[in-house]
Amino acid sequence: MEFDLAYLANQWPALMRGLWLTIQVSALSIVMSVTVGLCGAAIRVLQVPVVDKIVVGYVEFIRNTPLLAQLFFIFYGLPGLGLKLSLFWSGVLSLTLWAGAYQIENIRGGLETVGKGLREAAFSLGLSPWRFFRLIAAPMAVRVGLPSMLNTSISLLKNSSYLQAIGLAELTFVAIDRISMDFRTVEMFAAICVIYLALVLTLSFFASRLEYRLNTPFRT
Amino acid sequence: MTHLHATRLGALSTLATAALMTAISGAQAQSLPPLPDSIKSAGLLKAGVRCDQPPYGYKDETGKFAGVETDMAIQIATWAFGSADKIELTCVTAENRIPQLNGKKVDLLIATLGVTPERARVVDFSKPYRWGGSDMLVAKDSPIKKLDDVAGKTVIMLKGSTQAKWFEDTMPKVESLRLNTASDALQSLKQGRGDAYTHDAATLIVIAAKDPSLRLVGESFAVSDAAVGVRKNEAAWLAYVDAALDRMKAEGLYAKWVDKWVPADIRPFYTDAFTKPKPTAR
Amino acid sequence: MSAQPLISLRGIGKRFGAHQALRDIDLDVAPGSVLVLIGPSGSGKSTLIRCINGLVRPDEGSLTVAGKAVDIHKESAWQALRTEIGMVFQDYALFPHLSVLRNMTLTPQRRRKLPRAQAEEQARALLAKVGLAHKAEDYPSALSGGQQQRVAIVRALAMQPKAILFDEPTSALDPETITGVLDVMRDLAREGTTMVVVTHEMGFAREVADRVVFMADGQIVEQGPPGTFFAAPQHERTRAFLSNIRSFGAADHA
Repeated sequence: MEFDLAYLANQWPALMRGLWLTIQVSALSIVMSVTVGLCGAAIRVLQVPVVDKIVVGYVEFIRNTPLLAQLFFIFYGLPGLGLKLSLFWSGVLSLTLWAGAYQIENIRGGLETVGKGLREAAFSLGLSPWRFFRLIAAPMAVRVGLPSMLNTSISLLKNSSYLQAIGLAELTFVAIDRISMDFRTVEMFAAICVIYLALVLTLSFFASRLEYRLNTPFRT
Repeated sequence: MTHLHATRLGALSTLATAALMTAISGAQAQSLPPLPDSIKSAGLLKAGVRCDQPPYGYKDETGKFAGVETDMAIQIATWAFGSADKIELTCVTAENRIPQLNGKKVDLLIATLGVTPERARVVDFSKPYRWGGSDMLVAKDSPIKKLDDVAGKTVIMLKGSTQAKWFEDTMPKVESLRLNTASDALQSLKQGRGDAYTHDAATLIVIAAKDPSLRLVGESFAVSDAAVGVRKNEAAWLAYVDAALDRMKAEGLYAKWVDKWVPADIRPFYTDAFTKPKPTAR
Repeated sequence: MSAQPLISLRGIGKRFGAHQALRDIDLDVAPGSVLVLIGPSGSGKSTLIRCINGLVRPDEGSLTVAGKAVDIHKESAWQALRTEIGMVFQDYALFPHLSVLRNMTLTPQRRRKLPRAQAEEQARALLAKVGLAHKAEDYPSALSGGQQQRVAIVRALAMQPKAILFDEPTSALDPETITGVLDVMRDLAREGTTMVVVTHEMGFAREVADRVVFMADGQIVEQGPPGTFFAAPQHERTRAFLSNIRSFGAADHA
């Protein structure tokens, strides 16, 4: 079989629809997982009673179980418990919960570099613990944790391909679905690999811009 | 062992084999063509079968491969290598079966594989060994009574299935939810994620018989032949498989396997599929 | 002391596990006065100064600021109090991700509800006062230790506190930058700012303090105006401490 560019050109609209869904699901999940990360890390660092133990349990659970099992649990299991989410939101929820656990650890690592001195200084100026976290600790932690947060976000983007398993028509789904009908395996997988690569590089580019901006105060 | 002994033993065994052949097959005796070296050298048969498609290919309660198509694969291994143990069975799905074959993970597919022009472009088909129609499964109280009733509704189907292709070509306005396995599809139907689940009628009959909350729509469509799939350009191997299928038919093995794997109440459908000509439908 | 004290501590005690860090401390700080706390390390000076704004919460005792009793077991009471009492730390503790100006406007905007323009105007005026007007847009990492500490002092001032606590403000500085910081503190004292200062700068204490308090083992051993305190210390421990400091000549720069 030869590499058939005309075939790819034909399938391009379908691939772009898949790409658009991949971008939507990933972007939403990245934003939500960072939010989860910030909240979870705050709870851990401020040692909110009881809740911090729940956060620890959540992180351990997510990190020690396969993403696919979590995804199936959310898609097929939750309806049995009375929560039926659409394909899209099942996907967003599973990616958010998965990446959120890692973001908690990433941000917590960053928070540990924010010393006791800054905490005392913030408190001595009358800031509440919450404002200290929001205005001082979180921005500093994000700066330090940015490389690992980016890694998690890239993994999230790549792992969005798992969502094909529940039938969400994202990029990988489109490829597998077309392959199962047209058997243009080489063309399709090559195409989606190139697209994923472009997505990851774009994400890295924006992250490095953000990192540059966040590091401005530290360049003298 | 001396030369003399060897010759004598060889002669004896030839005699014995001839006698045995005459005894078991009589007029039906069918010799298979020689097994191609590419297959023979592996020392066993690598076959792709379904694991979630009773009664054709599935795993029984103990996790053992079961079903008519599984028995077909085992039979070919028995003829080719002289033992039912000389086989390596691989679970394949609708979407990965052809890649598994062309990626040389398996040497043949006996995996509810319908004959279509698209597939014929990438694999070679044996003679058909049965036909298979499609049907839909819906909730017992569903308003869907015939095929056209699913217009504008969501139909659950498997990626790469005959039905996925058929709906795309014939009823493109139907929303589809495409999943990987029959169990995912069934689960999704029962959770109301789609209005109907379309698949091979043969598969759905088994499910409907077991689950009183579900009902078959009963309109047959996309009837196609099922055949064994082998890689392109393996003519000798294809010829061997064709001959093996002829022999199964001649020896009445299909009826025997249907009896073995299919409960009596739904057995006629399957017996027809293996032994009667293909009906006409949309 | 004739006037009503601005800050008044009674029977303050603090325990860290098995260690009794503070024991039954009574202390008054008159408005507009400078109180210097000295003592060997581990004597409880830093803990005591933190008990005044609740960075360390005392286990027992009472605290009155400007005539109002502070509920020492209530976090919200401490948070409100901290907007009225500034603090300067040994390690400056400027927020590294914020510009000098932003360091100074953050809490006035958030806690005093000053409009941004007004907060910035006030900040620039304060920076000018300590000779750092040109550094307003810089980030802390671009400043020397002494410059950072001067910013930290005016950052505290920007909240217009009733008093400022200094916890060893010159201990982390290079000798050549200490003078600038002490000059600023001297100016503040002259302007009548109420200050509580933990320091090893005996020169500063002698010159600026209205009262010197010597602590050891979590208790106040001796206190008095600097003249009599340094000239004629009453207790053996005080004498030992002072002679140690002198013989090392350690921190006597001013």
